[in-house]
Amino acid sequence: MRRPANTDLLSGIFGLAITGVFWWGRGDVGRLSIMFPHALLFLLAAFSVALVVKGLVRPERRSIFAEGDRAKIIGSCAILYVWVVAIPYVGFFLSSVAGFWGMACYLASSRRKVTPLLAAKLFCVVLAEVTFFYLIFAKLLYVPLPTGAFFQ
Amino acid sequence: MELFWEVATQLMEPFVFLLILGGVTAGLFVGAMPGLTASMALAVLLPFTFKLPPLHGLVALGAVYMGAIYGGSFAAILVNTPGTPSSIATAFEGYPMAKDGRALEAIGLATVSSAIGGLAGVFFLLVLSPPLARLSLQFGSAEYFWVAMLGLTLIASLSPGSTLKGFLGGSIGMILAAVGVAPIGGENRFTFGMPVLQGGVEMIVALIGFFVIPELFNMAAHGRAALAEVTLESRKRGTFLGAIRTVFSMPGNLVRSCIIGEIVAIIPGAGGSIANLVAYNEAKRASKHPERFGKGAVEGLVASESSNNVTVAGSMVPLLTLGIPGAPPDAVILGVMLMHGLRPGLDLFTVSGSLTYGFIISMGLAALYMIPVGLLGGRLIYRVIVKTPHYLLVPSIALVTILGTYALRNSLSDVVIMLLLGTSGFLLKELGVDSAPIVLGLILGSIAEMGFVQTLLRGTALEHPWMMLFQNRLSQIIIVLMVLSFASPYLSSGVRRLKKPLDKPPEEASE
Amino acid sequence: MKRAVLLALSTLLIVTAGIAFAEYPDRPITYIISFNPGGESDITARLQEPFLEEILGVAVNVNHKPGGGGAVAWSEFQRTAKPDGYTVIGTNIPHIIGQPMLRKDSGYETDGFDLIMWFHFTPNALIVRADSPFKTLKDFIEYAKAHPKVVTVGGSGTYSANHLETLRLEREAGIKLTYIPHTGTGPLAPAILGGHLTSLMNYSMLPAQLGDKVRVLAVASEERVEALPDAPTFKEQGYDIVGGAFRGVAAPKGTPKEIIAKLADAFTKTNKKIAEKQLPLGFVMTYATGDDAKALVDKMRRNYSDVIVDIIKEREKK
Repeated sequence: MRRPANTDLLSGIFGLAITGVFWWGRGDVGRLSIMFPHALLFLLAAFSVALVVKGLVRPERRSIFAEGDRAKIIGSCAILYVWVVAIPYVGFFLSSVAGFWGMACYLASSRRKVTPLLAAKLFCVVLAEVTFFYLIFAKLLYVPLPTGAFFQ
Repeated sequence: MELFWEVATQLMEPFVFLLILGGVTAGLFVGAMPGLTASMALAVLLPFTFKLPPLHGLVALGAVYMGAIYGGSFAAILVNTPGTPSSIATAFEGYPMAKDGRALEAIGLATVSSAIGGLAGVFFLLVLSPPLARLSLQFGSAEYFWVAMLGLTLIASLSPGSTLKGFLGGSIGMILAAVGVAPIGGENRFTFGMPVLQGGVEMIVALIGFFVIPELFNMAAHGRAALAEVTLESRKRGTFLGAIRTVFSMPGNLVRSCIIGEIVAIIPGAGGSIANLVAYNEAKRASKHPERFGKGAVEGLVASESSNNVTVAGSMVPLLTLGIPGAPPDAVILGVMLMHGLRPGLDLFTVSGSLTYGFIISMGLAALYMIPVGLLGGRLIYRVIVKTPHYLLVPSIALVTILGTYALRNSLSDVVIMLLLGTSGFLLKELGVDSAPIVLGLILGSIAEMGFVQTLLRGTALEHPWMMLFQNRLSQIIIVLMVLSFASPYLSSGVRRLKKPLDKPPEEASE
Repeated sequence: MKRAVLLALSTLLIVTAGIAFAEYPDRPITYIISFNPGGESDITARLQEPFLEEILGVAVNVNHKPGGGGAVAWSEFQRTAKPDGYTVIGTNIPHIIGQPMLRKDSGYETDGFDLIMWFHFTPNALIVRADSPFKTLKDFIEYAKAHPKVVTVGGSGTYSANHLETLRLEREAGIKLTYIPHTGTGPLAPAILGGHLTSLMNYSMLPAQLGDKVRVLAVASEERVEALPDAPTFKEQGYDIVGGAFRGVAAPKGTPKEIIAKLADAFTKTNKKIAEKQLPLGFVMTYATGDDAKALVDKMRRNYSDVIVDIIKEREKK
């Protein structure tokens, strides 16, 4: 089912996409501000095209995302994004406890069954750890952690 | 002689001893946390130092600075995440070692190399300040541009797979560095209508994203933490004596790395983030077994960790003699000195000599105190990381990463940028585009842009402004080094083909 | 048991009453610095911190939000900070005047703050290396007249006080210079000492720090600066050029008047205390609060407007 991917072609296309996005986002600015980025965009495009050409002529094929459990990558990635995006809404503390706990339970499920007891144990650990770091940053280092609808 | 005794008695005080010990320990913690930087730690300490006498304040700051640069190696070795940009190359070798069950050995080597580097920096500062300060003034905008270009040649050796992909990564890093207000020209570019992007992509935010996030995904995918239990062999080599023996078995590497560290340190604005990569690269080129690099070569680790700690005292050369802060933490130290009425310059070494020398030597003591603190602390952190099950370790690292990234500029947008860059870094890594060249591009991008545009402006009155780039002797020297560095892989393979192995590889010339 | 409950209840009552009637301030104040640690703004804030805490009786937490020459912090401050007096931010002239006029997406407005105070001023100074052939401002201007664009002037940042002052010198003296921006004040010292630039237009702190390695041709202040007694002003030499960077502190728009007054009072007292440390470094202490603070912004805006209009015209030509 898994065919090796043409990594040269793919990374070349990725490079071209970035070139496109930045070319479009240059903004309307003067010569001094843009001369160096222009040169960079040119370089970026050149390397991308070279990779695309190499991908068509003499591609390097390799299976990608072959190692490990792909579902776990997507799952933990999703939890991480929800965690961060939730911070401005519910505050740092709550979203971190929830995100941390969610990710811990989710990852633990690959090794063992997550019983309510284990989940409760994990919750205690999570609570302690988040509180610890919260205190260090907020009270010792005076970092103003984001507050949400509740407290920090 | 009188001065010597004065300095010695000052430093013998038990309070000073505690200050240095506490400073090194605090610095170690700060350095080991990705996102907490030396300059941030110093800034937090500032109000306390105002309450202390000048010497004690400076001693505390110096010790934290020294500890922080060293502490970066822990995160690099144990979780493949440079705690500060000064330990990027440490991760290249330290992490593979830890994966092989050689974590304690790597920590021991990093500790001893860091201490030696710190002492070497103090030595240079005490003995060679005046000539080094003169050398540092030779670097103008054109030289900065060429230094950045020289740095980019490292890409070739930092991308194990395809060099072309390495250069793609380097360009991506440089274009990311261009986001925000133009350093020259002052207008916003690549902000896509979002005011927060005026601040650009902070290098450390990108560093954390590109290194930590892919590692988290890997751990999640494999359902285990990547560290192996330490072998008995490694435990033996990780002791103080074992590490000393290994480190001193490569004197050439050590001397070379320290000299590289010192030269990079006196170029204002470069600092440890570049020194460790250059030293690593040179160690690789000088090695008889370059193929071992990236798989746990001790030479690379020693080169990286010794060179970055040289920069701590090394960057004090332009600071103390000329008042030029070479790296961001130096700016904080300069501020403290000015507030205490200490003006950098010759007076500092004569009129307030006992204070200045006391400060310098205290940094050497800090380097020595790192050994016990680091060996103990390193073991502790290692045990915690190995004993923690992966389902707690992964979210813990995520938590620290989020906090550290946020605290850097108190910006939640930076956390989002970090995540986005990290995710793309993960995808790119799968495609064979490594993170290291991207981060290198980010570090060098703005240096290159500043140097390039400033030089062209300086040449406004010339018929061809770009001629300004080639006018100075030092620029020409750097250009030659760059060409040599770029061509050397091909040269040395050519030499090997001639089957006339030289005693010294030709690239030694580029030191 | 009953007594315990009663005690708890009464404590609760006192605490809640305390919150309702508490006099400002009763909890820590956040003091945001929109630049990196170690810069002038940061060091000043660190000096102020203990005195402010003593006067106000609560903790004052300094933290940094650098980026975009200050604009990142200012735009977020105007968007999100609550006008309750518990968040204040360091502000700079001419940054908050120039950036919104000259940048797209700067994300904030010059008048979007409630100014508390401008506490010091660092005038611009025209600096050359000690061994430079230019002994006086006259030498400098004559040479620049004869050799347009040959003389390089380094400064901190584009459209900064340094840049705008260089442009004003060009207008006033009828000369053409080449201004070269640098990131911050740090890289300027090696650039001038290493002979990579002909001159610098930078703040008065730099020559105070570099001492006899450099010569100050002129200072852009009304009177001579205490730390540089031998440096003549532009005015003495016949050029009406007065300008530099003012640093101050502001609260979010809509903060109650009494709170602003209280903070202004605390900052004024603090400023008198730290003056002895700051004067020798080349700072000029100022005490502009209330309407004076606003008037200063308006005055500086008028002052720089012609140069800024020139820049915008120049840009549109391209």
